[in-house]
Amino acid sequence: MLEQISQLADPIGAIIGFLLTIMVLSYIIGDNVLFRLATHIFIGVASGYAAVLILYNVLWYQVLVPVLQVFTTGTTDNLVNYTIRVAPAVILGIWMMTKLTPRLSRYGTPVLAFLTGVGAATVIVGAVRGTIFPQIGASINVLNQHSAPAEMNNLVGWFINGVIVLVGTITTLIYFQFGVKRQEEGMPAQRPVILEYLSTVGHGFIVITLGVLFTGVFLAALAALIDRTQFLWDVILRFF
Amino acid sequence: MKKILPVTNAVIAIISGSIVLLGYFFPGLFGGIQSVLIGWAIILAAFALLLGIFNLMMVHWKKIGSEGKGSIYSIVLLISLVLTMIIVSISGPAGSWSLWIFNTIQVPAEISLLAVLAFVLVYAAARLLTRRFKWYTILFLVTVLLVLLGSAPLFFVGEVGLLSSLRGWLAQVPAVAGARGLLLGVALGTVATGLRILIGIDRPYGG
Amino acid sequence: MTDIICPLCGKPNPPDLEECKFCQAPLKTTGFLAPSEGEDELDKLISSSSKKGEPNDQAAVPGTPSNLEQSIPDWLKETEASFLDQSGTMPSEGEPEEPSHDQISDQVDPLLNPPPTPPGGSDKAIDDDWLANLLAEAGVDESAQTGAPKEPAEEPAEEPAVEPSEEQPQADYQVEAEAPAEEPPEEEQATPTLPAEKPAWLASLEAASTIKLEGGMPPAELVPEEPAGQEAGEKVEEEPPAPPDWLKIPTSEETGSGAKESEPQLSPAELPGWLEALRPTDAGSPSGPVEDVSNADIVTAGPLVGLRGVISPHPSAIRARKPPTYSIKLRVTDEQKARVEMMEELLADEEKPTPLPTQPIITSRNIFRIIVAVSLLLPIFWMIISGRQNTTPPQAGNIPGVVDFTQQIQKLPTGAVVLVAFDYEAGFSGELNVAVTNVITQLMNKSAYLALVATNPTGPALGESTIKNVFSNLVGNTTTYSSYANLGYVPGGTMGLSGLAKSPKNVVPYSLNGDNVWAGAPLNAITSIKDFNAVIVLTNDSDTARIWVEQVGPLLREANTPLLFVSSSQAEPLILPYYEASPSQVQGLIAGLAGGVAYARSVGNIQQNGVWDAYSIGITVSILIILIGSIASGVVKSLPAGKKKDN
Repeated sequence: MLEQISQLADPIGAIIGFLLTIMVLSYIIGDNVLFRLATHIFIGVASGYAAVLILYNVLWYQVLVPVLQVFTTGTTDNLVNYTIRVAPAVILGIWMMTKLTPRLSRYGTPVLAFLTGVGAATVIVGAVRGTIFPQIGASINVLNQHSAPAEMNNLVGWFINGVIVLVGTITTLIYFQFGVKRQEEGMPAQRPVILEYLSTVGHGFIVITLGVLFTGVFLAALAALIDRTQFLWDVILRFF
Repeated sequence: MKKILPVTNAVIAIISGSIVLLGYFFPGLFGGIQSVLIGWAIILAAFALLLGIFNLMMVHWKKIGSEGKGSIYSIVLLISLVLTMIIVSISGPAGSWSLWIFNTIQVPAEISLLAVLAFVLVYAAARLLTRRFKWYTILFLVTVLLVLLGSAPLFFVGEVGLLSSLRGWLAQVPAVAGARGLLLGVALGTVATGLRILIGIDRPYGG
Repeated sequence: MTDIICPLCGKPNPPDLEECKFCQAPLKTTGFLAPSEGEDELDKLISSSSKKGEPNDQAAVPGTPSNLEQSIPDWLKETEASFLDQSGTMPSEGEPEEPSHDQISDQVDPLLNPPPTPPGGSDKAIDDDWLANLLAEAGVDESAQTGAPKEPAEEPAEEPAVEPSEEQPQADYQVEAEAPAEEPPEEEQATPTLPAEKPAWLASLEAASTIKLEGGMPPAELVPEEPAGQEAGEKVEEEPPAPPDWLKIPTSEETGSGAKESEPQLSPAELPGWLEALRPTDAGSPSGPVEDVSNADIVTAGPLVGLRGVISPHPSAIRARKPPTYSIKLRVTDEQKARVEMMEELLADEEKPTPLPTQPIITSRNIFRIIVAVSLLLPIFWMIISGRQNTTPPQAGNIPGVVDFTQQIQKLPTGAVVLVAFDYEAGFSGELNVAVTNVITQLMNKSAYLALVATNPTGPALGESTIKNVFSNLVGNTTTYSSYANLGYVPGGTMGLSGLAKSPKNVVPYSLNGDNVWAGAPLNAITSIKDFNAVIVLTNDSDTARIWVEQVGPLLREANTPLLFVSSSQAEPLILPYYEASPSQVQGLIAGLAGGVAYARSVGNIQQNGVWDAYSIGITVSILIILIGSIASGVVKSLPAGKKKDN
């Protein structure tokens, strides 16, 4: 029975995938029932899979299995490690479930505060070590003579490109600088003129970057469209 | 209690964040406790995700109770969610039936959603100048067209070397400059926000 | 249509109702009429009094005890019963068509049918009514009651006439108090007045009182008798400044003498000062409109039995309950009411969520969108169906990062332990499949041990599927690749990666299959992420890429472990700064379909089946659509109408 189902699973799966693809692509003619049905099915499946994955990966193997091992095998080697690393987290996790009810919700806030504090510290260190220092270093080194090409023709290009990257980085940062000096009464708040010009240059760099990003998103979507077209044609060839 | 709790929350956030921060600077002294605290946070994040999924279920369960067009979608969502949970629980997350559901439903639906985006983006780009006729929209469109021209050989035309080089230059010089500025801006903003949380000025957890 | 406003809840009721349909309070005895537009206030008052006398009035029908009667205290019932018994034995002296007259006692006759008083005389009935109530409350016997009306027969009105505008807001009790004074004259003539007997207690009171009517009594506030009905109202309206002669304020001496002349058998009563002070001061306001009570019912029970058009002392009217709360609602006209309703409707509509207007399916936008979709879809379909492979695939040297990536993979030793992070959404598998398949194939060719992780919940399934598919394509059968461990999902985003970087064993201690993979080779040699030979991140998200670079990158740099990315083209612009940094934070990059095809070409594993041609024609058509649309938009904008619209 199971073998028969297994044999049928592949063609059934192809038909279901074909129908779902058509249902989602029907959005081309506008929002409709088929599209909504397909998206809700997708959300349900994705959520269900994620829930079981967490239950398996975290709660079962990290929380329950070590406890069961103590009873089944009698090994207490990891008991101390478990008591320190897992048990408090489980208690905090259960405590956080108070967020489910509005009446007890505020009692779960300390757990969120803990989570936020740890997250903030992690993010700060990551940003400093992973982006700020290395990227500032990269901007400084962009005109480093040790990385300059030997040929004269390439050297000009390298220098111009280096200057563009440097100017672009600085002016982009200036574009996001909105602080102004205190003005006299009645005078509109305005940045210094030089900063205004530089921020306009930065605006241009940001627009170019966004244009490249937009193109990247479109190319990803186009690749997905090609993939679906190929899938539809494969299913058609298979059954017709 | 109403006054004590917010202060307690802020203190918890400050202390836990400070210990983790110190763990990076003094790994010998605070590395152990930092590792423990991060381990707790990871497990708690899993609980938070479960909480979110449970909340999603509750929201749609309530929608079923209320009459309206949306209730049928909520029924569909809950049925697919519960069925998936049952099958994946039996088969295991890496089991063959779980993968069948994943490849049959989730992958086609998700790729199709992204495919629809292609139409939407082309349509939006074609109508962009109708919406806003400014220098930066023109620059944006020119960039888009140049990058597209250099991304692949044009049909019936073939590869144009100049266009490919221009695309490469745009993506690797001005776009990198802008992206670097953006990344630095994001990183500086992240540090500022994180420090405000660790000082206790910002309390996004609801203290 | 005139509604009756309930005195208890203030809501309007149809005039034919006996009780308020909202709160069941009796309407006929205590309700007042809602004024309607175009109706004179005086008319309303008159009509209200006439309505009270309708035969349907439950309170006026004898022998039909109300349900509320049961709630009356016993002592009050007994008092009432004894009174009715006594009055019931008396012969009827009223009109034959009025059955209530059968129960009129002789003692009350003077109250019911006061002797005709000359014009200008004060109304004694009001004082009688008031005193009768007082006596009834005091429990005085019948003989005492008969003596009750022996009050000053006529008292001068304090004010002869008031402007009609001041009469309008007259209270209900004023109207009701006036009612006895408005009895028809023929009735007055038909009923002989019995000589009043002064009770002993009243005589003593009279004797004890030091205030005489001539001297100490203030002018009475009784309503002067005048022709009832609409004429009175008209007269008041028409001639407000000049009251008739008979309405002029008589002196106390005149009133006293007048009363004696008309009713010699009634001796004027003298009230003590404290009792006089208790009298309702405005009960006899001469400015009040008179009412035609000829059609009003005669009270059939209680101390006021036989009186016409007064408040019924029937149990339903004097039932023991909380005093009615009079509504403070404004009297509004129908027009005002309509406006208020209109405003309420408007406000209610504001609160309602307005449904979005359903756009028609066939619009210029929809047509343009469908044209865009069809013109993009058809050429792609054509390429897929034809399987055309004419377009040259890109070279690795033209795509940044591909050459470095290839070199990094080639540098890996056989049996290397590689951490592969499946951190992309399933939707991007169409774009990344070419690159991912080729990278995994290369790693398998090197017999690398793959440790799969994901910070995305879909990652474990994607990883498992990819490994199985690639291996089955590579080997040609369904055997499973054994040198890998699917470590599953790492929750917590930034924190999860931070923990994974330092101690992967603590974060993901078991594989998805439940195996303790860290106990055996080759993962038992791994204590930190930098112990892997390489870390390859497959992602579609620039934020995920940034987190990997920030949290894992610094540790990897310590051990010169390469951090390689296979990314979607949408994340490429934000990964490039890390790749192009000096020193480089990302050692290799394959971005998008172009990068994947270039990598496949560089490793000699290119399988096109029309995909690259479809990609090429898709881009070409898109460029044409955007160009045409932009030019058309520019032309429209440059036209005067377009400029005007833009401004």
